[in-house]
Amino acid sequence: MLGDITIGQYYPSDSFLHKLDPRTKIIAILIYMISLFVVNNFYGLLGMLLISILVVMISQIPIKYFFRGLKMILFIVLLTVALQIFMTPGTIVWQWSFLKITEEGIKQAIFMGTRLVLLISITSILTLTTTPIALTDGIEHLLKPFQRIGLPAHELAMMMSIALRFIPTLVEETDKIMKAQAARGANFDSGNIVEKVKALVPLLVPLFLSAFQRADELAIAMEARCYHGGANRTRLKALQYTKRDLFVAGICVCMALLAICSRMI
Amino acid sequence: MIKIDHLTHIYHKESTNQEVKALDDVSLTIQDGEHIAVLGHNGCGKSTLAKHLNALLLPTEGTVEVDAVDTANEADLWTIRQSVGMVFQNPDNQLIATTVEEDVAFGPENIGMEPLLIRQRVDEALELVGMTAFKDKEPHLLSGGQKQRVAIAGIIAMRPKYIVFDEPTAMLDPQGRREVMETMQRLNKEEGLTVVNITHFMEEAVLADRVVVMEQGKVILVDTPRVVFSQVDLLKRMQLDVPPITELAALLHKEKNYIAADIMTIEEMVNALCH
Amino acid sequence: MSLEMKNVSHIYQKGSAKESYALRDICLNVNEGEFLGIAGHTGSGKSTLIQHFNGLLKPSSGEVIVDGVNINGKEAKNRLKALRMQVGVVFQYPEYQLFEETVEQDIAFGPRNLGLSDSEVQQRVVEAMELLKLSKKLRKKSPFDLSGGQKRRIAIAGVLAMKPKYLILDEPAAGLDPKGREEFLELTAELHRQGLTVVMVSHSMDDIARYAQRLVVLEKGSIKLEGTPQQVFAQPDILSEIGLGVPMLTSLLLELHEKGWDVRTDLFHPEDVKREILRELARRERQGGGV
Repeated sequence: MLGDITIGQYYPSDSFLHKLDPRTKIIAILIYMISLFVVNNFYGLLGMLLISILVVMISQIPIKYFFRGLKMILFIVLLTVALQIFMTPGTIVWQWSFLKITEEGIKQAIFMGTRLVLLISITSILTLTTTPIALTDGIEHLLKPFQRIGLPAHELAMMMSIALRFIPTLVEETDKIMKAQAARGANFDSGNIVEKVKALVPLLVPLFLSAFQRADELAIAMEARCYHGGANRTRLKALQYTKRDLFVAGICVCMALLAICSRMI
Repeated sequence: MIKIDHLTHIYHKESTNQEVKALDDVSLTIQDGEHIAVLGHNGCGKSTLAKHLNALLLPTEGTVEVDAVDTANEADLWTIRQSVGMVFQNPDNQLIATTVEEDVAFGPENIGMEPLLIRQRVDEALELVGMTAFKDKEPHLLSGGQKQRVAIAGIIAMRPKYIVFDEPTAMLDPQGRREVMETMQRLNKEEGLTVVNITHFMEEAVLADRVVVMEQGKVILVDTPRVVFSQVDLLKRMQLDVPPITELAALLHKEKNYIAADIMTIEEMVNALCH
Repeated sequence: MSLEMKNVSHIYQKGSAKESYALRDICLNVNEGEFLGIAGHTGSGKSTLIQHFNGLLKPSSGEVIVDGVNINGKEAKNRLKALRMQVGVVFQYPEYQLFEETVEQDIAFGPRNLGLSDSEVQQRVVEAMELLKLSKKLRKKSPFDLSGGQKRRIAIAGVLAMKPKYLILDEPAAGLDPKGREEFLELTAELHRQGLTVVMVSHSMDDIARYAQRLVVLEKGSIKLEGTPQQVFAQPDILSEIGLGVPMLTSLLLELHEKGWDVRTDLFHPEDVKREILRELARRERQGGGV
């Protein structure tokens, strides 16, 4: 009943971006996002657009595959655009009863719409070119400095990677339980909201119980394999910066500077 | 050598507020290189026994020693767990990482091995269980038998001396069961690992050097499979499985006493009939 | 009256590059009152097939007919629920579907979904519990405090409380110890004796051989062999090619047959095989050859 749900949606390839250290990618994307909000005119935005087109090209991800991922957020983009178009006050260019479109509104809508699309494109490039495990590794490393102020970086990363590991298993299980309850006449997709929520009980109770049991067994299995937290732990694939990362860092600095300069045009 | 000496384990059952004696004065010595099968019903204490071998549980009374180190010795906990690996029943609930090779690396990472050495151990372990071709795959895409082989590789990568299998095939189909049993046999015969296999399946117990039969927390029989399985009446009374061929042998033995009652394979039976 | 599949095919991800046949042109009849065994490997299409019986999956082509009515057709629209409930499906490890606070409420879930009156629901719960030999004392207990075997019985009772005519069980003894296996296989046979039509799906030839009157072997989504267990086991080559094998004692008889013994090769019960071997031994003694 549930289709294939791809989480983390990694697309295997051997591109320059795939080979980049996840830490570099995360930081580069943060810089890109900030730049995206620093630029305040169409020249700047055009520049950001060109950069993201270039990034998509370098990533070697098929355009079709890339856009399929974007389709999911189309609704949010349209909603933002609509709100901007109709809600921004200013010089009216078109009016019908209470709906009015202003010049400023059109500008705002194009601006916000593009920003949003670029924001999501660039983050999806991150998840498309980075395996979930590299991503969690990267986050763990970047958060390490905050460990001193009590942030459990290792535990967070471990939780994330276990969650990623078990999402497909739990999806499969949900499917099984839904089928079993449907065989007993349960109906998951009709009725009003109250009925629909009620219908979820026979699904959620077994799902939670089995998730707890899994967690229990997993904890024992981890202990049996000598797991005792992040202390003195090594990694199979230790993260290592290369010349590539230095190169990307340089480009990011340039991008940020250009973004600031673009405000002066 | 693992030495279990007068081991008793009592736990407190919360739902009924009762003390339960899961193990009752168990003594057993497991020699290096041996393949031991532990047979018995659910609740007979065999899983509790298994969890004592690598200090997941500690004795209420008595001692368990792994290579002369007491498992109750907290300082030696990680040495013991590295030396006694454990494979569990549910293949899904023991794989931790999102790819096969990362999962195999989990144990070595925990004991702080050098990355280069981890790489080497992971490759070796995957080769040994025949899963090298799957090293970049996600665990949920594998079959049950393949998942168990990855779990075994995860143990092998830590270079243990002993592997305890806690009903590793209970949730597998015949194909998966074959894969796991072949791997287990190879580790014991070719790599010289000591294997303790906790199981319901007599086809598996037949492969062991010694079979331990447990009932209500007690060890009631320890002997070679041939001796154990020839006691068809005792096993049937305990409602344990008897290999059909041994059951037939017992039936034929009553009619024609030249047919031995302890036959365990088809080949032996054919030979006995066509001598 | 019967449960019937007419040229049923099921294609996953139709039209995409990953298109694959899970079932291919299945023609199958489950006759009322029989005990049918379906054997096959993981991935042979067993579970896809089961889900077609009660309309959880729709065939890509072909028809599923319950007592003369095509359950995916127009005439079934109004009473689809009732029709589906004619076919009770117990999935693997059914104990994981329990969710209610008490045993009684859980078993009542199915009948309630059928829209029955309270008194009728109560009666069905009582009947189903009796059928599964669940003690009355358990009614108000939480199913989660009970043993694995009891939980499984409650889950099966939950399906039986809908009074299906056809009961389909997927690996009813999976994951149990020998005592539990025996218990559930016997239970399945008992339900059949009580008048239910039973379809048992399993990868254990030994289990199926003991109870099924008729046997269907599934391989790669098609029916590979069909017939009485004896007829099916008479084709050991095909079975071993699929990797299912024959019961241990049947392979003994096959081996003896190859050595020139004049024995039947379609038996599998120890008692039957003993008689057959003794008969042949006696014949050989009379002839003065052999033994």
